[in-house]
Amino acid sequence: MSLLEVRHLKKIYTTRFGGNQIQALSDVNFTVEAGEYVAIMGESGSGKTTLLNILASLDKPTSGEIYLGGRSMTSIPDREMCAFRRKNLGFVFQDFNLLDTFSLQDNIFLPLVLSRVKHQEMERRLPAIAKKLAIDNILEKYPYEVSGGQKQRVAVARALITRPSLILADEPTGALDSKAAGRLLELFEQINAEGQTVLMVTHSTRAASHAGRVLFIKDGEVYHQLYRGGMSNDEMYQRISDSLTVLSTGGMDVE
Amino acid sequence: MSNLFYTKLAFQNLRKNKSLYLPCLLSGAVIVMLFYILDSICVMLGTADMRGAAYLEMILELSRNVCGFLSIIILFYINSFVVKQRKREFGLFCVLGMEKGHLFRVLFLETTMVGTASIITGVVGGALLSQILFLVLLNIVRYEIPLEFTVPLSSIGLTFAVFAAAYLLVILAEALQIVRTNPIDLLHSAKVGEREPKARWLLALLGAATLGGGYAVAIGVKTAAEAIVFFIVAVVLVMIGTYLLFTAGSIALLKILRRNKSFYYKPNNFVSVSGMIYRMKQNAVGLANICILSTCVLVTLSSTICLYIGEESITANRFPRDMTASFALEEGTEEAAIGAIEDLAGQHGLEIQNAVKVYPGSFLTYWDGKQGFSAEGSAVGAADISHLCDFETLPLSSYNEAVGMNYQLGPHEVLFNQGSMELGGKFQLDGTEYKIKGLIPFPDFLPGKDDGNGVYAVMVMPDNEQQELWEAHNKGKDTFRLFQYVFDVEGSEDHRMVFQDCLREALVETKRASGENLRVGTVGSRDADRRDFYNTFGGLFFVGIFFTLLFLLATVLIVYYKQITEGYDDHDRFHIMQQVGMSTREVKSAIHKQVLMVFFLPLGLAMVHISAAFPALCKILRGFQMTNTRLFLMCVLGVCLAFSVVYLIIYWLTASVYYRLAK
Repeated sequence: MSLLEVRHLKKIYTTRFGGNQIQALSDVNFTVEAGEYVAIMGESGSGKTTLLNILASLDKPTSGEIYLGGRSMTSIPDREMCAFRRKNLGFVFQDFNLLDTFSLQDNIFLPLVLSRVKHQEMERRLPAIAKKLAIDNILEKYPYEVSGGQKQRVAVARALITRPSLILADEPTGALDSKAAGRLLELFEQINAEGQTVLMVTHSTRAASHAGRVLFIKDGEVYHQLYRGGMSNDEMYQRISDSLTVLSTGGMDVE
Repeated sequence: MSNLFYTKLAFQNLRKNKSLYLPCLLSGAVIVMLFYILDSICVMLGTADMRGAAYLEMILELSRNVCGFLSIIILFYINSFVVKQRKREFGLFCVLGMEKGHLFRVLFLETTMVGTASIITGVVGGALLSQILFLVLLNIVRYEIPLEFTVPLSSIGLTFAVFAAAYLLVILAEALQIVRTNPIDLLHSAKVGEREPKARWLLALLGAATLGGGYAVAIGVKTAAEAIVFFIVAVVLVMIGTYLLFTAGSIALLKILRRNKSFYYKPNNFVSVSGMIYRMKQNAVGLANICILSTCVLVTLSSTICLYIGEESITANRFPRDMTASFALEEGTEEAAIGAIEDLAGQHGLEIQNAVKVYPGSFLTYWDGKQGFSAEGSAVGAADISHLCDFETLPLSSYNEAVGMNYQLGPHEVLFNQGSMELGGKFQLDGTEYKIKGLIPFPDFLPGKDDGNGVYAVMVMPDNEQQELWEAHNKGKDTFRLFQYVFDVEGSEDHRMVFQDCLREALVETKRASGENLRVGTVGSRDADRRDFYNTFGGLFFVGIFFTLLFLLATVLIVYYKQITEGYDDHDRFHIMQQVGMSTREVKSAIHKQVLMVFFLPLGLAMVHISAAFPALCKILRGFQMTNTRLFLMCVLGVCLAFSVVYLIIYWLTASVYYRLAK
């Protein structure tokens, strides 16, 4: 059975003053197996952020089903949703979303505190993760004292510490310089190699080239997908570029 | 053309920042109104012809000046806040190509518009309200004079002048702020990560110490005289303590909480404690201000209300009967004098009742705290006021007559009322031992002796001994032994007042006619005292209401603007916490809890302050002859309750603004 299964997902937004309906997702289908590293690519407005928000249960689909670990996410009542999300999903955002009022360590602990995990347990889990992400010497600092790359690694630590079954990353390299971005992508690869399932939404070819599989979204549908197979990152990069070129120039419905 | 452009821009800015400028304008108008009203009432009093108007005018003029001064501070506070909130906007203007000069021009126009609108609204509102308030004032001080409603031009002029100058100062301060910052800073000023505040343990301890010290001083005072002097010391200490505790103490406490890991890492505490550390850093001074202003409101209002309501008990304390006539007489002419008074009353159609005639004799002694009193000790001066004993002596014959009893006393035997002392049967006065034959209640025809300073005793003794004792104590002093005639008068207040004036006239006349025979004479009455009382305390009460309004306004503004800043700041935090896995409800309750704590902390501490000040305030009121502690307690409780309700309403109204911004 797949870890994540998305079936006939549809999302229609109604504008505030009634009338106008905008279809963000028309019919999205895909699955993610446990241990996979999947990138979802698409241009701005293709619906990828909507998709991620629905997967993160921050938004509700108009129709369609999502199964995570065999459980239908649309059937979970609201009040259990937060707990479910904390337990099963880890998030990494483009602009880090660290709280300024907490030290980095407390930022990492935040989801555990919310899940009422014992303090000793938190401290037991932290060292290994901090070491892996090379943030063990800055844990006492505050977000405004460290660089963007470090902030994002803290955000990754915050996502990992709950041992989620799936990590959702939304343009994780978007706010980083190329060196920090490269380092972060290697980290994702490493985490994935250790068995963590990762789903990343991005429009950066370079970020996607690290993934094991790339899905292309266009006009609210999965348009194309690409498997790494035995390709190196560079070969993968080339293939993605080619696909993107076809995607934006080919076909009848070019803008 | 460009002139019009700036005016238009300024106007649009005001409209877009409604939530900032509307309260600014309104409060400006209220401040101007209060000032105008005080001044115009001064002018109206000046033209009115009535007893004590000059005194009232003086009180009002003094409070007008203080009010004006406080108003300017409040104006500065509002405007500095508004400019701070708009820094980013200014930065954007700069980036878009405006120079500082242009920026200043826009600000200048904006402030001028707000200022002009405030002054005009304030004066118009004031002109309307001043008439009602003048009526209220007359009612409070119980004057009955024909009302003449006027709008004094001089008041309008003064108000315009004062507030035009005030707004000019505000504009200068704004210019200074713009000159000092550069555009990029302006643009990013809102985004700079706040540094976590350091715990300043020493200051926190100092704050606790000064607050404790202030409380100790306030609670420790023994007499009214002491209370008045030390109350100021206590107030200063408590103010310093409040500022230090809010700024340093709160952060130190939160950091201690944070160190306790099993407490800190719980969902509720985790978010609250770390959030509060930052909130306290930004709000400490504002909250300390709210706390101190609230305390001012509570103290001012409760004590003036208490004095005002307590009027009856205060005048009754000072005048046990309707009238007291005291005069120095030749021995044996008392009955003739009384006869004359009774005749005069008869001529006015009034009847004298409950009359008591007595030669009281009073002198000061020093009480050693046990059974000894010495007259010499009292001359040492203000060594310890709480040990000064005010002795009132009464001759046995008059006492027996007054209370309708027939007590008998041997030599050095006395009937005694020992006030708060415990003497146990006997005492020594200047070396002579007296035996207390019986304890008596405080005679109902004597004015109250308890003034909050020291102790007192009433001693009934054989007639000759009483006279000798008084003479011994007043040897060589230029005083006369006064005969007192204390009585009630049946009749209306107006009749009594006329009678009193005639009696005074008659005494002066008799004195002139008889040469040395009748040397001194005064007539006091409860009615006259009451009028003076209302004149004095009515004025104070009125002023108290004004200052309460001003303090309340300042409190409202600080709370409102604090809510706005908090709202803007929390907006992002709200969002992130939801993304990290807090439910909307959890986020809401966490933030709500913090906001509640922030806003009710000052109110809570203000209540603690007034509780600590209570004993000292009681002593001070005792100095004003207000001995009814229960009444004062009721006043304090009532005012606290009413203030809390008002505070709660302010909170609710402003909280809705907050939630709109934070969501």
